[in-house]
Amino acid sequence: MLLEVGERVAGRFVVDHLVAEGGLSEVYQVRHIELGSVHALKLLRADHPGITKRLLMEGRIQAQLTHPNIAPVTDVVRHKDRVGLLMPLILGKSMAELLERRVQIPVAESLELMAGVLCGVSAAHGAGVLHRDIKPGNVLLLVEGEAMRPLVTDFGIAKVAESMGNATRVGSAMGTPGYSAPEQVLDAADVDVRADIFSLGVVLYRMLTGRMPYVSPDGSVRIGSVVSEPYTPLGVADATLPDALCETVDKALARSAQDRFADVHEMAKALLKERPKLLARVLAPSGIGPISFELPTLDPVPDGPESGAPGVTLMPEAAEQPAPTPNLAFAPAPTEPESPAPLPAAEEKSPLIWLGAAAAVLLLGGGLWWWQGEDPVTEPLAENTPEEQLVIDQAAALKPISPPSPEEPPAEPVEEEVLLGAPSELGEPVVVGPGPSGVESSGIKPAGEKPVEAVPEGPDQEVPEEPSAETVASDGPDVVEPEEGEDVVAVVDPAEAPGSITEAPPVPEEPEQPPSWSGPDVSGAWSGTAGGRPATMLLKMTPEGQVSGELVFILGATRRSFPVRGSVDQQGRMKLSSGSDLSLSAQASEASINGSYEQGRSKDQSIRLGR
Amino acid sequence: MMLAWMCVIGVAEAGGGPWVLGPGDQTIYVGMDVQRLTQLGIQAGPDPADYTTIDVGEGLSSFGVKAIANYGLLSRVELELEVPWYRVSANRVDVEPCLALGEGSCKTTQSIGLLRGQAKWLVLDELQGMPLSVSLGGTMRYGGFTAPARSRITNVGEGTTDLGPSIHLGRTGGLGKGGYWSAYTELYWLYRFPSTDSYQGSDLGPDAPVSAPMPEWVLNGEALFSPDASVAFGPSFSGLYRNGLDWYELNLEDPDRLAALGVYNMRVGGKLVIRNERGVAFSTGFLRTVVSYNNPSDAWLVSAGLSVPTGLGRP
Ligand SMILES: Nc1ncnc2c1ncn2[C@@H]1O[C@H](COP(=O)(O)OP(=O)(O)O)[C@@H](O)[C@H]1O
Ligand SMILES: [Mg+2]
Repeated sequence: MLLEVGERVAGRFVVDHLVAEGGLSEVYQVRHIELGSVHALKLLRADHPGITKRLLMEGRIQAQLTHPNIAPVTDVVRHKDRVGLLMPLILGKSMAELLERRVQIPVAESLELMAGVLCGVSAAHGAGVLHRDIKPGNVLLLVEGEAMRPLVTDFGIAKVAESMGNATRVGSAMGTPGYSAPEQVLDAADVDVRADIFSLGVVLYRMLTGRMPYVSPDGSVRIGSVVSEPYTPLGVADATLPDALCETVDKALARSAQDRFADVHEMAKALLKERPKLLARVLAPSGIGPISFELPTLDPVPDGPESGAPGVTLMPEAAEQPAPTPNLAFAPAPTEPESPAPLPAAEEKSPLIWLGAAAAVLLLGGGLWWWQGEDPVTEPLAENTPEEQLVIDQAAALKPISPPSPEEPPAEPVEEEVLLGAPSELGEPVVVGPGPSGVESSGIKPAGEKPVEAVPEGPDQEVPEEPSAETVASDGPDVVEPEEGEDVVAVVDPAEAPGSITEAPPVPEEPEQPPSWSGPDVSGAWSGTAGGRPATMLLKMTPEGQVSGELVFILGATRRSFPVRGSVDQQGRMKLSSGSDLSLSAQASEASINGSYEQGRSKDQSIRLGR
Repeated sequence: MMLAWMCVIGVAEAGGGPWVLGPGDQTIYVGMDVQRLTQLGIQAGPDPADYTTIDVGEGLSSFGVKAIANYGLLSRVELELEVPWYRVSANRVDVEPCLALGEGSCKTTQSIGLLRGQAKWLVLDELQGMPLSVSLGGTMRYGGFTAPARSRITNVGEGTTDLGPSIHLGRTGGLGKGGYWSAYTELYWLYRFPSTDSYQGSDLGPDAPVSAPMPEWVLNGEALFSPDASVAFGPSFSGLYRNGLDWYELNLEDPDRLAALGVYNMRVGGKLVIRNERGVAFSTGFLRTVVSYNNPSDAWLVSAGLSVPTGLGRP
């Protein structure tokens, strides 16, 4: 909790209690100290400048979209470095809570609630604002008598036509799993009103069936489900629903935006064909004048006890203004071709040379290939396959014909009354709360009563890939043969000065050694450092001090061996060579060999070996 | 982001550390590596508690082949040239990071990777008064081949040209009975000529444009134990650090969105080398991510290859 109960906020409010927690915010009931009025305060949990900026934008949008079906924001409140939005307290809580208590909502009641939501969203669209996060949690329900008025809220990731194109970020503009349209999930910046239409469709589907339209096989709904999972047509989810309603919802939920309704009015016309009164309300001008979303250049005066009380309008009336000119750039171009799902791209040709190299390694490293073995490429946004469409069509065709819905009276003039679903008008009165008749509303249908027939097959997206490795005949680098046996040098005179090595016949001369050897025994394995690199040496020795063996340098992963021959004298002076490639002179004892060597063009390299 | 698991300097296939070939000596390494990951750790919001790990569906995998040539240029100066080719693919593209980054961001990419050239100069030999061998290096990387796919999560590089110094410290010694050990650590700093100096983050990002990518630090190390010269094995590690934006601050519409990411990671693993008498070496190793930030958190890398001494410097 960011605020304590009883805490003073901005000098003029006192906290009553926490109402709800949202994604980035906490919503409190606060009371105006001087006026005694009760309000909701949405306070940001983070004090990050970017999020603050976005909340202020949200506030600006909601404050200026004065409409009976949009939750008003009346003030900005600053408290201890945090920013909050002040709103009228909506006592009915959100549609999400309603759906928790009542799994399914009867058709008539769903349409009435939906009509209110459509009114609000249509007004926002008319003002050039895309909501982008329509879901039950963002529809507040104001209890008015025995009815509920929906108020759309949380314009936190709304997009104002073209002006906020740079504002995409992961996890927010993507919207909410299951409710965001496929194209929004894929690219939140590139959406139009049809993304909101999709979300409206999901909300309605959810109300009518208690289920989500796009569900993963394991029953979960993920952000990508709308992209990849098969759609369960509404008529399949509940065969008792009227055909026309099913068609409308199915159309709103089309995976491809161009198959949906072009705008909210079109959707309302299809949905509320039989409810002309409700329809007339949705189609009525919203009365919202031009609004400005530019952020102020002046810093607002910080809140304090001296600040005056803000004018809090609890229920703004719909102003009688001419409809604003619709933002044409904002409406989707009906003919605009949807970019089709990319077919599995033909892989770019790989340079053969590297496949050849791969094959060379394959001969040796072999068994790691299973890693590449399976590599299915799935494609997003697959349209329904013809087979699927057939299933969908059949499902729609087989649906039993539902009894005709009660006739609506002919269209009446638009009523100014904001309340949607007044008891007189409703088939079943909607009652919220745990009151005696509240929970057992006659229209409750527990979820799962009717089996949902999911479309059996998902889009067959698995495209087997060409085997990526073509085996090419090995043409690996030549292996250099060690020059064993050639140019073998024996150093004869132990007294000879170091470095002056002379070529000698292959058969070494007998060294002049006393018969009883009293010098160090250097035979055996040595290891240590030569030229700064690891080195090892294995030596054999005759009783006369003749030495032969192999000196190995470790060069990176490889090693280089030099067959060596030479001698050691009674004082431990050792000389070894390997043809003209290497010569070494060192002081040897039983435990160590220290000296220097030349190898190729490397002169005066140090060597230190031990047992 | 893949930079941090794909193109890092390290995984010393051809040998690492301060040691250099003698003048005229040459070796060639030809090898392959496969990498796989299923999770990305990302900073999804400004609060440290917003750090989350997201699933990458059935994972991303890469397969690469590379050739590395080493050449002793002068006494104590060695050159190294690396040419890699990579294929990176996502096993599913309908998963969160692919969706979040937009269509095509998880498309299979195959391309020549980062070409790398390095010169190393052994300035101190541990046998000449120092307890350590030390060399100084200079590295240049060319990423032009990787530029077209740099915005993809399956990229094989970020399209930049990079330049910077390195220092390599090492020590070796005998283990007795003809065995030896060697250990090294090396630090690289690479200035990455930015693809853009006007990368503007999202509305949650910094107000002013930044350049992307930022310079990069790489720390590698390895310790090998060799009971005799024909086999060596031991642990290794490789770490990367780069300053930049957090995931939630990225403007995902810019192709340099991944290059703008600030990342670090540490991978640890092991290595085995088997050498025959002719000096041909088979080496294999693995690395596994143990620490990561804005980066894959469970990446595995397995590599294998052959090193062959191809030339012996003659006087
Ligand atoms: N004016 C209000 N009156 C009563 N409850 C509200 C009000 N505004 C929001 N809430 C409650 O707080 C929750 C979160 O609000 P919301 O604006 O959606 O925040 P977030 O952006 O964090 O999701 C809503 O689902 C609702 O339950
Ligand atoms: Mg919300």
